[in-house]
Amino acid sequence: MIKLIEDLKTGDVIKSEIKDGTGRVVVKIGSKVTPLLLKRLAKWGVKNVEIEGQEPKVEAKKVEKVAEKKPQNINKELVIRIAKKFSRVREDPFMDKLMKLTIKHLSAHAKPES
Amino acid sequence: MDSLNLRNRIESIDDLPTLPVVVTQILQATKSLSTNANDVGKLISDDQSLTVKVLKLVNSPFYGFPQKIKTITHAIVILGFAKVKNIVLAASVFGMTKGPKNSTVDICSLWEHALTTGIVCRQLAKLRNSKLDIEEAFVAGLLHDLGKVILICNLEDICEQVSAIVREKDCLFYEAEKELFDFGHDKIGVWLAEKWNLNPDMIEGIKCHHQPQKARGDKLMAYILHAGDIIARALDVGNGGDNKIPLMDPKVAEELDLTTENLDKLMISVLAELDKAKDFFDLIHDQN
Repeated sequence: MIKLIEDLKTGDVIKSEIKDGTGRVVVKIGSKVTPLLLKRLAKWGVKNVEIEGQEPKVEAKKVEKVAEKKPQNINKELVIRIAKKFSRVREDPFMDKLMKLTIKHLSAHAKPES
Repeated sequence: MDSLNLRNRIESIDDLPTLPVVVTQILQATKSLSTNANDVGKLISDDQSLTVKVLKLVNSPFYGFPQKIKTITHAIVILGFAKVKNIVLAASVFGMTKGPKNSTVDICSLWEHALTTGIVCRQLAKLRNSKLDIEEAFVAGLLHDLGKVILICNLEDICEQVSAIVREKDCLFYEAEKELFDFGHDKIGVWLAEKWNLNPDMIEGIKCHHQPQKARGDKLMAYILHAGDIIARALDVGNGGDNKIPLMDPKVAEELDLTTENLDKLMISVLAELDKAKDFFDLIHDQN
């Protein structure tokens, strides 16, 4: 994975060697990032480096985005069904809150329509 | 019909739902201080069908143990007597009685509602971090509508009268019972729970799940069952014989600290647990 210098952390492992302007290897593959190396990279003007590891939680981010969008795409049948169940008690503030939360969570939990 | 006549009628039913003998023995054995894991393990293992069901449930994602539990004795050592006792109860109740095919209330749907209530009650007990054992809360939720099981399976004529009122007025099953008789499924459930020798907190909870303030002594179980029933109805899994939701007692919402934030947390955890409880839902359908 490619990381910007400012995102590097101590302990990250360099995956691709880093060369200076003359082509000389200044950081070997497998070297660990240290505070000293961070200073040197900044001094050499290196903008980004490749390090070991996967992109952080790209899938999780996608899932979160889907979940955020779902309430706007609420299943109408679900809303009608739940609202009918609550029809006699909706004037009670707690029950109204419970109904809205139920619709929100059931919609977010429902499997995406194929 | 008044409650005395009804009780007499229930007492005279020959095939009233009974717990399997082995379950009754286990309930007794787990109360004794001298019982060890091998004794109870042997009691369960003597019943092959029960052993298979219990091992399937203890190894389900619902209990989330990383390594496979292969024997009942191993399950008791890892989970403890109380938890295994409750799993045995859960594994036994779904198939203890068959609902008539043309019943106005579907027995599978009722058990699905009961199981969902059990799961909500378990999470309520867990989130509240109370002294109430979470597995006790689970079983109490599972058994809170025991009275309806008797109505469906043993008192079909009464069940039909109640259901007719529910259809006509689109009201709660409980309200229809009250309109027709001076008792409800809560009272009938207690008669059976007492026969089964269930623990007193559980019996009091079953008795008062529609009127939790009336519970004697520690009201926590009744509060959890009251809230668990309402939230399970909201989640729309299964059906308890009507299509309405009772009003939450404000005192229960206050005592269980059911704020928006806590309800949010509760719903997330309950929906996750429902996904893990597939083996329990399968058991309902396998046995009915």
